[in-house]
Amino acid sequence: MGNNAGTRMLMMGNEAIARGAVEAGISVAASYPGTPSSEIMGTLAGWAKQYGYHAEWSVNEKVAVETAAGASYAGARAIASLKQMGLNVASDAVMSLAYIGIEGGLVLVVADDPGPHSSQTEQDTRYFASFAMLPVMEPSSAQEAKDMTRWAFELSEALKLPVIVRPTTRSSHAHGDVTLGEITPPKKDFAFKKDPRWCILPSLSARKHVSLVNSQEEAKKLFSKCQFNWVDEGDADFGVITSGVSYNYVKEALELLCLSPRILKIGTPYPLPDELVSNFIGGLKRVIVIEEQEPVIEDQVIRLAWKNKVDIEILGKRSGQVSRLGEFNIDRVKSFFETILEIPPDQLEPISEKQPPDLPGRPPILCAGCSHRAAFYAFKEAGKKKDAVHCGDIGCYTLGYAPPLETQDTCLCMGAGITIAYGLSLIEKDRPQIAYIGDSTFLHSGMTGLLNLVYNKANVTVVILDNETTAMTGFQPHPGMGLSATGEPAPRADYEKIVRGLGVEHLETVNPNDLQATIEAAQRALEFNGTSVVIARAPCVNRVKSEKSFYIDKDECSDCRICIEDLGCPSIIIGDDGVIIADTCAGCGICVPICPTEAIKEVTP
Amino acid sequence: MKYSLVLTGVGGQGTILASRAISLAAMEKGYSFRSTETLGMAQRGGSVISHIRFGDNLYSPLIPAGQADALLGFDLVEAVRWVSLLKMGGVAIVNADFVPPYDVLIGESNFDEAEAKQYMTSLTAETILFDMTGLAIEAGSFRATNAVLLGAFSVKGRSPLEPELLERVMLDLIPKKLTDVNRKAFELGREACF
Repeated sequence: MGNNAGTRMLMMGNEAIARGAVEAGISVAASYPGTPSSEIMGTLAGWAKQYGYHAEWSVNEKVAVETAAGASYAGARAIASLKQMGLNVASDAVMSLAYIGIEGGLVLVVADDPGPHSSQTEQDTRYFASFAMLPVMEPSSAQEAKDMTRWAFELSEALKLPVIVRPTTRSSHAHGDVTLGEITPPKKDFAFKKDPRWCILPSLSARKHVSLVNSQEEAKKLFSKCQFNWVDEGDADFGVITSGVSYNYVKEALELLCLSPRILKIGTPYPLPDELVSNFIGGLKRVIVIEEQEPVIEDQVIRLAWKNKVDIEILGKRSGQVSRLGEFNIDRVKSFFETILEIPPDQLEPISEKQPPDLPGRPPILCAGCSHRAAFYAFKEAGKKKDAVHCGDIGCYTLGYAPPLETQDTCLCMGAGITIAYGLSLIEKDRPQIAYIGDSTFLHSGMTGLLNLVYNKANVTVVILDNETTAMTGFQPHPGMGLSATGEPAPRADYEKIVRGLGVEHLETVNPNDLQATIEAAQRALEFNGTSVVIARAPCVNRVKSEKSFYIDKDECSDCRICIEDLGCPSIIIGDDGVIIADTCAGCGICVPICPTEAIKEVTP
Repeated sequence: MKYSLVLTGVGGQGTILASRAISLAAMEKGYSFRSTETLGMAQRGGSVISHIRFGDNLYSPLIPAGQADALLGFDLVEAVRWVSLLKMGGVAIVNADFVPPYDVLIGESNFDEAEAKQYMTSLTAETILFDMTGLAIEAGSFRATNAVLLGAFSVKGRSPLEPELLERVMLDLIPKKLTDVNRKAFELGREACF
C-alpha cells in the first residue's frame, strides 16, 4: 500500500484501523488474534517493513499491551489490538497503566462482539473503559474507524493516558469506501527518560488516582469539540442520541418510518461530552437513547439531566423499551422506535403464500480431515470405560462439543481446560480427567496451568492439539511455528522441551491421524498415575493438503453408517445410492480403520 | 439508487470471495458501499451470510427484512433460511444443490428438498434455480461454484454491474492457475440464464 493520500479504497473496518495507526506514525504494534479483531494486526504486519515499524503477534494480550506500553514509555506511538476477552487477559496491565500514564500515544483497540458471533461473552468494553477511567471512542463506519484511530494517538498524548478505540463486529468486519490520509513516518530518536513516575508504588498511586479523576473533565472538554460527535438537524418533538454502528441503524430506521428528529451522534461514549449533550437535551421534552449493548451513554445522560435539573423524559434501556441484549440491526431499531412512539408496526407481507419448509440447523463443525477429530475419537475410545471428563478450551477444537464427538464437556476461557480438569480431579479422584488445548492457546495461557498440575501432583491427562497454526482466527503465526508476524524465520518453541521443563514425566507425541497408535498412547496416558501429556501433532488440513482421497466400495459397504455416526465428518454423506465420500474429502483416512467391513478404500491413481 | 444484495451459503464455499468481487466491481463503478460478512467460528462449515449494499444514502451494512434486491444462494438450505430478507419483486439466484447438515444425515432432522425447491419457485420474486455445483464440476472443479453463481448474477442480478466487469474483478482475485476453470464456470453460469 502506498501513501495515496486522498484516494478512495475498499477497506474492511479492521484494515482502516490499521491504516489510521500507520497515518499516525506508530513505531510498535502488538496483538494476539481474536475475532473480530484479528485483521488489524494481519494488516499491520503486512505493511510493517514498508513503513518501518515493529509489528508482532505476542504470546497473549497482556504481553501485547505491556509491549506497546513499554514503547510508549520511551516516547514512541504504539498500538495493541485485541478482542474484548483479550482485554480481560490484559486487564491487570491496563488498570495500572491508567494510573501510571504514557509518554508516546498509546492506543488499545478492543473489538467487541455483540451477538455474540465468535465469543464467550457479550461484554461491553465501554463499561471497562469507564471502570478504568480511560477515554473510549466508538466508530460507526470504516472511514470513521480510520480517522478515529489516527486521532486517538493525539488524544492519548494530550491526556497522557492510554485511549481505547472500540469497534464492534459490524464496524470491524464491515467494508466501506475509505478516503486515505497522509502517512506520518515513525520518528527514530526516542529515548526512555528515567523518572520515579514510571514505578507504581502505593504513594504514587494515591497521587495518580487524583490526576486520573481530574483528567476525566479534560477528556469531556476535548470530546465536546471533537469531529466524531455531531448533530444531524431535524424536526420532531423528540430527539435521538445514538453511537457507533447503531447510528447507521437509527438513520435508516427513521427513514423507513418517515421521521426526522434531531440526532446527536456520539463517537466518544466515555467520558460523555457533557457540554454537547447538555446543549442537545436542553430544549427537548423527550429523548430516545439507542446504543448497542449496555446503557453506557444512557446512564450518563440520566445523571447529567439529574445534575442539570432538566425536566426531560429519557427513553431507552432503563425505561424498558430498548434491549441491552444481542446485536442490533435496522429492523430491531425500527421496532424500538415503534414501541416508544406507539406507532403500529407495519406487517411485512410474506414473500410467498406457502409456508417456508422446516429447516435443519447448521452449526459450525470441524473441517473434513481435521486432525482434532482423530484425537478426540482416540481419547473418547480410551476414556469411555471410566466415563472420562473431556475438558475443552478456546479454538477450533471447541467444535468437538458437538455430536457425535462430544469431547468438550467444559469450555470456559483461554487456558482454563487444564485447570478446570485439575479442579474436577480433586473432587472425583477415580474419574479420568482429560484436558485439551491447542498449540497457540497452550503458549497463551496453558503453561502456567500445566506447571500447577505438576507442582500439585495432579492426576490429569493434558492433550496438546498441535496443528501448527492459530487456526480458528485465520492461521496467524505463533511462537510454535518458527515464523514471525511479518513472515521472518523465528526461534521455534519446542513443546516437548517446554513440557519436560515444566516437570512432566509422562510425555508422548503422536500423529492423531494414526488412529490406532493414538488410542494406545491415550490409554497409556490415562493409566499413568500423575500428570501426563500427549502432544497430538498434525498440520491443520487448511494449511497442508493431503494427496490422498478415499471412496466407499459399494460391494463391501453394509450401510451400518458407523462412519457417519462416530466421526461426523462433513465429507461422509448419504448419496442417492447409500453412503458416499464427497469431493470435499481431505484425505486424512481415519474413517478407514473404523469401518467394520473394510469398505473404505484409498483412491489409487 | 440503492442496491442491496444478500449472499448466503456454508462456510468454506467461497462466499467471501464472491462478495469481495461484487464490492470491488461496485467500487470501480464509483458507488459508495457498505458490506459485512460472517467471519470467525461460523466459517468452519456453518451457515454464513454476507450483506452488500451500494448506492446513495447508505448507512447500515446490514440489510433490513424484505429490502434485498437480490438473494444469491450457494446452497438451497441456506437460501431458504434467509429468504425473508428478499424484497417482493426481487430476484433469487440459487444453487439447487446443497450440503446436507449433519442432523439430516443422522436422521435427527428433516429437509424436504422437493418442498424447498417448490417454495423457492413460489416467491413473489423471480427465482433462478439450477444445479450450480454440477456446472462448476463441468468447468473443472466443484470449488468454482462461486464463479457459476457470479455468472448467473451478472445476467439476472438487475444490478448496474456489467458481466465483463464482474468477470474481470473476480479473475483478479483468484490465483492465476485457476483462471481458466473460473472463466469457464462464470460463462456456464451466464449461459444457464439465457
